[in-house]
Amino acid sequence: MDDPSHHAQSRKGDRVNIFLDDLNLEGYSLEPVAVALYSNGFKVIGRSKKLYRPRGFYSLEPEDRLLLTRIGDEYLNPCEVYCRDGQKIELSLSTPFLVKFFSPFLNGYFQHRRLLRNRFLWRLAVDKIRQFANHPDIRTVKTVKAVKTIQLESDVVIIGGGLAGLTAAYTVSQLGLRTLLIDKSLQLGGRLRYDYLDVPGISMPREQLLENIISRISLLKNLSILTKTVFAGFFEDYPIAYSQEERSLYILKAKAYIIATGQIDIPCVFRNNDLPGIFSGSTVLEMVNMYGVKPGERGLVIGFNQNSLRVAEQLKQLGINVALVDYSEPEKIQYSLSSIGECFGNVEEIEALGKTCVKNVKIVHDGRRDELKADFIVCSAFPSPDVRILNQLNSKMVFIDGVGFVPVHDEYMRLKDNIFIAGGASGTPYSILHMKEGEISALSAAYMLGVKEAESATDEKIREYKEKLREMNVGWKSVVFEFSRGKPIGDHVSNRPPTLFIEKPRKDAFICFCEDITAEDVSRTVYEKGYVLLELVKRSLGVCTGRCQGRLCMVNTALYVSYLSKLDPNRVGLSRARAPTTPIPLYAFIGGGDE
Amino acid sequence: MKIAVVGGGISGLSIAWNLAIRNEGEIHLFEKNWITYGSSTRSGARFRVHFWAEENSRFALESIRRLEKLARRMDWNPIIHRGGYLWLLLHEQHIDRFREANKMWSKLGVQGVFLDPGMVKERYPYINADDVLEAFFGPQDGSLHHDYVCFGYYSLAKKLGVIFHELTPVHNIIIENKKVKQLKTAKGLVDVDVIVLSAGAWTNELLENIGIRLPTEPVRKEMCLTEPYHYFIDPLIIDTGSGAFVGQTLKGEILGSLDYPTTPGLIQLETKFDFVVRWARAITKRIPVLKNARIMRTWAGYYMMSSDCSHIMGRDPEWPEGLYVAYGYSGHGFMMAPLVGELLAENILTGKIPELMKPFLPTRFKENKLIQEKMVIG
Repeated sequence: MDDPSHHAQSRKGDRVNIFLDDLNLEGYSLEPVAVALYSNGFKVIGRSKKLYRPRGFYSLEPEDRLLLTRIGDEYLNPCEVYCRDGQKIELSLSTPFLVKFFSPFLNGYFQHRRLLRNRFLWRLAVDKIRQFANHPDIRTVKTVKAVKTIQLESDVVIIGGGLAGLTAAYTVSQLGLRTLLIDKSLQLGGRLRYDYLDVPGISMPREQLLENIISRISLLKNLSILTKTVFAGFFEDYPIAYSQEERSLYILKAKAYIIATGQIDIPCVFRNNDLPGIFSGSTVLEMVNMYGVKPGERGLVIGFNQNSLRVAEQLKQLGINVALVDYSEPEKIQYSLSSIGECFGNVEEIEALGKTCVKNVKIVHDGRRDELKADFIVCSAFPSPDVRILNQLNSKMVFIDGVGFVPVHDEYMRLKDNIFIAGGASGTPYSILHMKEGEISALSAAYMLGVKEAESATDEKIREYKEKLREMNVGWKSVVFEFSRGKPIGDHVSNRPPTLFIEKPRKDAFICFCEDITAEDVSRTVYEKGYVLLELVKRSLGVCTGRCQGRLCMVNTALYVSYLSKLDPNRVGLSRARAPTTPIPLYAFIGGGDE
Repeated sequence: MKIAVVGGGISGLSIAWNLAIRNEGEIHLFEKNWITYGSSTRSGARFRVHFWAEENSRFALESIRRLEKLARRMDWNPIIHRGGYLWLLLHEQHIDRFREANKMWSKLGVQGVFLDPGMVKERYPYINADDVLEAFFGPQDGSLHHDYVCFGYYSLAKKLGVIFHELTPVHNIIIENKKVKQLKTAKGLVDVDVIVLSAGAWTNELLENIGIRLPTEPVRKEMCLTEPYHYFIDPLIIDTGSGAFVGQTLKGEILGSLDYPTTPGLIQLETKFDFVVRWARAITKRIPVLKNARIMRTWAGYYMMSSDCSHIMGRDPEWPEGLYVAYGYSGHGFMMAPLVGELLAENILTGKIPELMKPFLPTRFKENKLIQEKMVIG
């Protein structure tokens, strides 16, 4: 096993000076502004929209876009912008007195209160809502640099440069097709970049595996690669991608698309789960392994599963103490947990304590209450595909017990028409399967484009893939294949969502971070208003309508509504996402018009 | 008497509730998806009382009054706010037209204000008014929350015993002896005495099945929504030059669209990149600070256009007995539906045709008594 300790504390890129208000801070050119601020002790970098709760970053993915910060002349996502020398950052962290005073009354239903709907009070309320909703004022942004619009033609576009995407890119290009690979990070590799433990089922060490595959694809002449570029969804006429760093908007024209966008760690729902210092599993690994920034001294990792254990293991190797919690029994997983750290099963409720960031954690388990010291929390209980790109395409999504919402596709990895899927984006666990799916999706796409030799190879690969599925006990995949051919899926009971750690609907447990919507708000919608379809819950509350457009809240809301209403999650459903899947400035579109 | 309302948008909901308060018979509402699905939930959520045709202005005026009164009884706040509409006029003939119409609007008590370019700059410093000759401001127009209005009607109607059949498409109408007899729905046949078709863009399919054709067709309209920003755009601003409009919601999002040509018909409700580019160009020319706004979502919905851009309500005496329609709102559903519900309920239950309703009967097309309305925004 490779020893990650020698990677620790090495910051990436050149040392630069960034300025927070008038403070000169240390940053590194290859790390996002948010990480630099965190390493300098600035954990609170924004305030929430309605309640002005302190906010840090939950993940470093650009699409999550939980807060905007004034960087230079613009309001930008501090997780998406990298440090530059002399960069000026302004944080506005004060809370207006009026909001402090009224915040106990501000919930998802405050605007419907009868008292407020008195003609004069409502007029006053409208004024105050406008004045105090915590949003950037775009009128103060004076200049913008131009954005180029670039049309890119290719045979196949692969979205996501993780193991599945890289494998697909290699396979497609090998068959002589013009291929374009898009990835939102600085470097290719997906999880392999920051998850330093070896990949189960693959004999090669992780580092070598990554080097191998990257050196192999770099030799291919018909493969172009775009990094720092976010795929922004399928419009009716063209799919587009956008790079904030490169200031480029790409119009994509390809004959086939392979979606390999991986999974995201869905935030856990517990009391004060919006405090700074609460991260997704992959974010913590990115911070420690890629940027050399420790999230804290002692952490709480939520989830007993492959991913959470890998996170805990790596934190422990860096000398960070961790405690693991979940509501299942700790014996149920094969790993020896005790070697990693303290471990609490049957956890019913979690409460993060601290005024502006996590200081301590209270847990309720086996009828006991314990207070643990922890200055950060990792949500790694439930990985799920980013459902938005998929349901933006109106491709069918189905809920599978113990897995979550997954896209419906056949064994050729075809979602619909000319769109294929591979890897974590299809809900599949295990890297070895991601590679297989990468190959199959690439071969199927190539066959569709008329590459004859792909046909026999596809069948062979599918046979291997199915064998591996059996070997690794991923039986639910065949349910998905059958479903895609029209075989109905049985009813599901509404189980407790894997992310839920509250005993009753709490006012301080957040489901939607963009719009400050809590578990209590959702439960009122279900119990008082009787809305149980996610489309209606969305419309009555505003979940999935914030900056992240449901990326972090859609699955949680659907599962929570299903849990409260005792309905099959497939009947609650998901809500439709729309292009663009990441916000794109109008100036980028205007540039697009000149081409 | 058993009345079936087909369509669970604002129109169907208003009709069902208005029938229910009159407390006669059993009211069923059929919706093929969920309440508000269709064009209601895809609405731009604005209302106005300024139309070219006096009939429409009068109707909308009364209708909004109804809604405001009703709002106090709803358990959802419809978020009504009269922020006004601001038309930026670039051509002399537009100005003449507005001056002419303003005489009619004054008569109705909803006169607007003409602003010269200097005043536009003073009141709305963010607008680039260089090519604007004059602007017309209608302070009586404004915004509402489309979903909350629908939910409000839904709760009220439910309380009064309207029976809702959600996720239940209606496939056909069965007629016997020149009288409506049954509805063929996904959940089986339902006996009915009266059918009100109020299924927006999907109404024509049902009418055509029984051989009725009215000059209406669905037209797809697309919309853009940006991330929320600090509030600064109060009115809905309509650029009569480019046909683009823009407004800001209470949540802070900036929303807008423009006249974008599409093929009529029930085409897929998708949005085009090209549409966003055109809107972005038009609107950033008019309001340059919007360059920095980020588009967060786009969506599409149908305007059910009638040939005279005005809604159709009531029945043609030649139709089978018991058949009524309320559709073809041409993008004005939220402004008209509250009153349509009230008048149509009265018409169905008493047989009398209220004065305000008369111009909007479906017979106007064959009698060639069209309403002179061409003002459609978006």
